[in-house]
Order: sequence, then structure tokens, then C-alpha cells
Amino acid sequence: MNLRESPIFTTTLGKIFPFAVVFSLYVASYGASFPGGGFQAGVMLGSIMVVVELVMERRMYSDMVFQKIELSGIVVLFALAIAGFVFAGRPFGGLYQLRLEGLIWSNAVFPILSLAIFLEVSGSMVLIFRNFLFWDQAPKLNPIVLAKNNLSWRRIERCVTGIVLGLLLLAIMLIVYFLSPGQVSVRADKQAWLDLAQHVGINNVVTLVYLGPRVFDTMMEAMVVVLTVVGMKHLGKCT
Amino acid sequence: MNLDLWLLFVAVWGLIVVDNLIKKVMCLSIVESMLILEFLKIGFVASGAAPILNVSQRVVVDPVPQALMLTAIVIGMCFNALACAVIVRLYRQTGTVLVSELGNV
Repeated sequence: MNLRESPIFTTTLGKIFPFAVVFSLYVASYGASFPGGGFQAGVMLGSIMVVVELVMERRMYSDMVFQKIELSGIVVLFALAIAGFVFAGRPFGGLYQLRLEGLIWSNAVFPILSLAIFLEVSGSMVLIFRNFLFWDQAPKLNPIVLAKNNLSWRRIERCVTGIVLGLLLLAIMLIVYFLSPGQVSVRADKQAWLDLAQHVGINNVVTLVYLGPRVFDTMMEAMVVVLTVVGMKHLGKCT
Repeated sequence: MNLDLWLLFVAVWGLIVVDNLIKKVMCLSIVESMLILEFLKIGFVASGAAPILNVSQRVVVDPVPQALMLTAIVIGMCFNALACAVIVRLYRQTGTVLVSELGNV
């Protein structure tokens, strides 16, 4: 029997779906003070979307919507890194160091970071599982034929521009990392954590570590998720 | 013997003995879970509360391993998804997921 024709599944899902969406938004917004945060909320929202598509057996929204959601999270992360560098001299306004100087918009940056992770994780969760759900529906492309047909100067120019921009970004990040003033804290004492928590108004210390001194790792982790989505789409499409 | 050592033993045994690629990915997933468990044990404090500053209880668990493991969970999810996608593609092309049969294809 088709899952879509079962009244138990459709009725239960109809009742649970709005509750799950609201609860994920609640978890994302209260991650600063209670257990939760952007990642957990993103997984919740992505999971309920996957369950809905599994039962309905069709795409509720197009792939482009979730790609935009995912990429908006990445854009917010990079924008915060660059804004911190421009205004405070360090990426993310000095959040990757435990010293308090150089912190900008300290009360606003954590909720925005949490929101960025929420968007990125929820979008990528749906895209990753969609590749398995609709594996047969992906347009089949032969990469060699595709490259021969679409090999134009404009395409090559775009590829070269992308590679150059990526290398430039990497170079800027390495320069910033090695030339930033002061010593990066490797192991902080308890008082440093308490000072940082009081300064930025966050009670949940796990969120404070995840989005504070380890924010570079979080950004790289988001990039890994994007690469996974791109790789899976490629694997699904190629014959 | 500790639980994590048992998990590691089961996972390595599965990686060596089991023929099915999906089950090998499951074994790698068990190794990842073992590592997460091990890290959480490092930060565990008996009768400690969650690391939230406004709780009245003084003793809290170490938050740093928990934050590290959040990253590990995301990377693990990505790894599992990509590995399963590669296996699905392999099955479409060769018709099998058994290592012993893949050698004859």
C-alpha cells in the first residue's frame, strides 16, 4: 500500500508538521540559554521535511529553494567573518580568541551565527536525503559528453575565475590567521569562559564554545556539508 | 572491559569479516559512535549538571568535548551520506554490493 493513501500517516503528519517546525524555531532561538542551538534545530526541521517527502513521495518544494536556504547560511557565515575582519581587525570580530578585546556586536553575533547554522544544516539535510529518495528521477548526464558539448570560452573563464577567487580567499584567511596580533588561546581557564559568557550574554557554554572560539571549525564544517551536497548531486546525475 | 572497547572490537571485526559494503559503512559508523562516546566520557563528571551557567548546581560537565563532538556528528553524517551514495552508484553499475563479487565484475 502506498504511504500517501494511508489516512494514519497523512493525518498524523499533518498534525505533527506545524508543531515540529515551530519547535525547531524555538530550539534555534533559545540555544543561547538552554540546551539546543542552530545545528540541532536544523536537523529537526530537515528531518520533518524528509519525512513529509517520504510519505508524499514527491518534492514539496523545488531543490532550488533548499539550495538557497543552504547557501544563505554560508553567505551569512562568510559575511560575519569579513565584517569582523573589517571592523575589529579579526575574522568574526575576534571570537576565535578568548580575549575580550576586538569583539564586535557581541550580543548580536551569536544569534546570527546560530541562525546561519540553522539555515545551512536544515537545507543540506533535505538535499542530502533527497538524493536518495529521488535517485531515479535525477537527469542522467554523461560527464564526458557534457564537457564536450558545453566546452566554451565562457565556461572555462567562469571555472578559472572561481578557482582564482577560491585561492584568493584561502590566501586572505591564511594571512589573517598568521598575522593576527596576539596569541591564540589553546586552552582557556574557567574565568576566561565565564568572562566571555557574561560579555556576550550566553548561558549555554556548549553553544558558547561551538560558536565562539571554535567558530572557524564551524565554518569549515559548513563548507564540508556543502561539498557533500555537491558531490552527492554529481553522483546521482552521472551515468 | 569497557563498552567502547567492545564497540571498537565489533566494528573492526565487521570491517574485516563482513562482505557487504553497506555493513562496512555501518561498522565505520559504529567506530565514530565509539569515538563520540569516548570524548563524552572525558568530559563527564559524576552528578554534574548540563553546562548552563544559570543553574544553581555548582558541578557541571566539561562543555568542550560536547562542542567538539557536535562537529564530529556533522562530519560523520556527511561521510555516511557520501559513502552510501557511492555504494548506490556502484550497485547501479555492477549490480552487487558484495566485495567478493566486485572482484569478478
